[in-house]
Amino acid sequence: MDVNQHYLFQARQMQALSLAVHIPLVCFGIAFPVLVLFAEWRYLRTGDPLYLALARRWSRIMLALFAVGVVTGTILSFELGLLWPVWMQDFGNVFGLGFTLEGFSFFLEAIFIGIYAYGWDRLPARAHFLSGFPVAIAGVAGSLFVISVNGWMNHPSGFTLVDGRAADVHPWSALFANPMFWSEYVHMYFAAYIVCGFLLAGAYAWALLRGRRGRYERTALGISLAAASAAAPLQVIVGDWAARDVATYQPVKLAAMEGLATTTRGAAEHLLGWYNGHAVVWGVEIPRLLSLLAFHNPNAVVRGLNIVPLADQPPVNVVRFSFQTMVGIGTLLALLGLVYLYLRLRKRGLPRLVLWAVVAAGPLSVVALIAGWITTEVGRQPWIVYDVQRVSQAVTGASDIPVGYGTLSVVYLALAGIVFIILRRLARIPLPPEAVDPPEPASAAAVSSGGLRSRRLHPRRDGGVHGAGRRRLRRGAVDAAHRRPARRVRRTAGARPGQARDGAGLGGQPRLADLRARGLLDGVPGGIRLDHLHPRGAAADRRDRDHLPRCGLRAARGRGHLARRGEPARPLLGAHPVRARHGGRGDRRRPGPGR
Amino acid sequence: VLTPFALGTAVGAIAVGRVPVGNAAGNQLTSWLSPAPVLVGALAVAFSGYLAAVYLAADSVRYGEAALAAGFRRRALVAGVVSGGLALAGLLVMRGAGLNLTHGAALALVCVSGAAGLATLALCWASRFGLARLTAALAVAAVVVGWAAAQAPRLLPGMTVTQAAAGTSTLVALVIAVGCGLVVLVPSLALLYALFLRGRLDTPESHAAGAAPVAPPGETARPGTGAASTPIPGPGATAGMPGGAVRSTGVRDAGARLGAVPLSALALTGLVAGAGLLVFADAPWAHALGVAGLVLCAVTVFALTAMRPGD
Repeated sequence: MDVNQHYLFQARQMQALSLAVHIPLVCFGIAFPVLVLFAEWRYLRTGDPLYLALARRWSRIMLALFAVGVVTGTILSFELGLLWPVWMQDFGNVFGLGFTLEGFSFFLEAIFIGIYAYGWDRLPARAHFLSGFPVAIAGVAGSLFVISVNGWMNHPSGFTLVDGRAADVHPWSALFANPMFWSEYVHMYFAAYIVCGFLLAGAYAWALLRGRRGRYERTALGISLAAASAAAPLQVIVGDWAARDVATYQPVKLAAMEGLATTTRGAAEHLLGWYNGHAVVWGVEIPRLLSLLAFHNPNAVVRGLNIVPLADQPPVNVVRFSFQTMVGIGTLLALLGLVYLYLRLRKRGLPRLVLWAVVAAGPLSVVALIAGWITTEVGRQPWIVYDVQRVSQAVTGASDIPVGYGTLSVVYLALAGIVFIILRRLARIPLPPEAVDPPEPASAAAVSSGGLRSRRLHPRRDGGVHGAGRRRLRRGAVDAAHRRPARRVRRTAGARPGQARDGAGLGGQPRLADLRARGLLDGVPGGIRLDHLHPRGAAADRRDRDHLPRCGLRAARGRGHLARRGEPARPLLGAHPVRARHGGRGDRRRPGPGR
Repeated sequence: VLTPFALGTAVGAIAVGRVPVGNAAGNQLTSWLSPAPVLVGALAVAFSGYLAAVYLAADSVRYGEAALAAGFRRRALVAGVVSGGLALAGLLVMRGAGLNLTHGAALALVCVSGAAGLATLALCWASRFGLARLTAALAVAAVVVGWAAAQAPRLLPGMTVTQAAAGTSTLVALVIAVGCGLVVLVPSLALLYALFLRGRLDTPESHAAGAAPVAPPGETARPGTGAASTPIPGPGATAGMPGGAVRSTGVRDAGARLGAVPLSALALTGLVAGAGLLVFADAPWAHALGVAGLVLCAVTVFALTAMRPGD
């Protein structure tokens, strides 16, 4: 029985608005903790303060986005009850379990994200690192539980219908033994990495294009783009799986996605075009492709919209355009991912064009995400529970939906403003100096001593610096170490006691361990560390000269990487030779994964 | 202020039976904007202020802020008196509006609440805030439980709890879910409170003193002596790490070069297996394996690209 509700469409819009605001934040909830943990793990492995700075800054963004997600998620959970009370009343006993579990997952996430974000410098390094894991797990679990409810709405099972209400309920199997749910969830899971990765990468690509080409920006771009590029091409496969599940379990939705009016054997696929109520016009027709895609058989029968009466058909063009938008953007993102992977594995630089594409990919991935959700939600119309309960039967009878809609819009606008301000503020916090530069006092002290120019400075061969220069260098570096709390770094090393004992000096040379500065540079592999401490001396000049073509000033040369061919070389970070060299060399020396 | 007020009015509206069963069946304004619900709303605000003052007073003592503690003590006393007065008024108003709190279990709980409230006032007066936190919480909790006791078994007018409850299987599933959830949540909360109450998550200033003293190593350990002879254990434990790093840098580089090949093979395996199982198989287990393959592929590709030296 339909509820007497004049503002049903507004109620749907309100729900859609809330979902569209919340879902991109969910992506950050799923993917961001993993990226932050990766950065912290790299820091723990390499001791490179750059990764520490990266993880700390990202954890702040993560916390801010989580807080916003709490607001939007709370609004959303209230809306489910306030806007669709009949749905809650009749079927809450089936899907309520999902939201219960999600509640616990959310609390877990909230607790540990607090510990993680405020625990920097205050917890032992390993404990802090471990405290991030529940955040990552809860991010995955929370979205899993919520999407299990959505999967159930798309493919309801696990109950019998008595007087329009669910009875004899099997909540576990209804939610989790639902074939529709798993493809939907995995699709969303990969989408989370794509959206989170490309949005982050877009910000750093923009920074690079604007001339901020420090190691920090390039490393952050590398991590976020790697995540997005690894996920984007694979999403094509997952999407194929999800689409076949739709074809099997929700034939009307598939027909709407493809604009297929009548049941057809060997159905054709139409790209673009417009559905005029009978067929797709002005589109590009590819014969038999739809049958092939949907059922892996070019002659398969694809059911059309005509299997249900017109009143049970979703708005075809909305669904179809959303679907094509998602697929189109998704394909482009997959291509961009492949291009990036190719360039990266071939050790090529990123042309400006690719950077611009990455900048565009961030917002586009959000568009694709929302378009995908429009496809699945509008494609289910007019049902709230597919083939069981209509949206018009589930809606509230309250008459003040426009008031709520207006209030909600204002709240979201305010929220958007707040997010913008917070992210801007976070972005403006200057990087800790050791994350971008070699520590200046150390360099200054070292430059003043002639001893450092000796040929014997090969970092790995004899580990170091001798005589007076060594002592001064140490003092300078210790001063540098005092500038920031050394606590964490110490703990880092403490976490690996095995290393501490068997890393004795080589070939009777003094242990580097006893020479190097405490704190700041602890745990930095030798090559990089000496690079840090190294002045701009004769040895450095010689190395640059000798190795220039292969590695050295790649960044400073610029050509073919970030600058267009034929342009004069532009130093990355101004004329500062140590910084420019550091950018190129430190990275090259960074140890790889397979220790 | 709005949040507890709105919550209180909603509770009040339910308690006095102004929320009928049905889809938007009650009046949208008068059901919660009548004297009894508004009084409960005010009571909720007073309770919040009271609890906040008591707890913050205890925190102020912990931080050694005597002036702040005195201020919160005064506010706790005032809010406590106001809450008590409102609660007494609520008893009468509620009785008039149809919720009888003055018999049976409800009366006992109201008495508990009153006693706990008085105890809190006395403890606050004596500046014993640690204990006052418990009694304050008890006073408020007793009122809430008393409301439930007075209303039982009615949930809404014409609907009992039994009628509103879901089927057994759902309830069992929920109990299991809540049980499992609590098993995870309670230790997490305990950890959080432990960290907070021990000041581990306090402002960095309070810990700067602990973090700063890092002994310059060269002054205490001569070159050539092992890490074990370093007198300060903290730095001593770290002393070997750079040495180890130096030793293994070459190994790591080689490892990175070698590791790339197996990693690529792993990624390719994951891709082929994942794509094959997802695209061509239909069984759920095959799809599960396929997803695992794709995730494996994604992780290895990520590892290959994100950890490669050079940007």
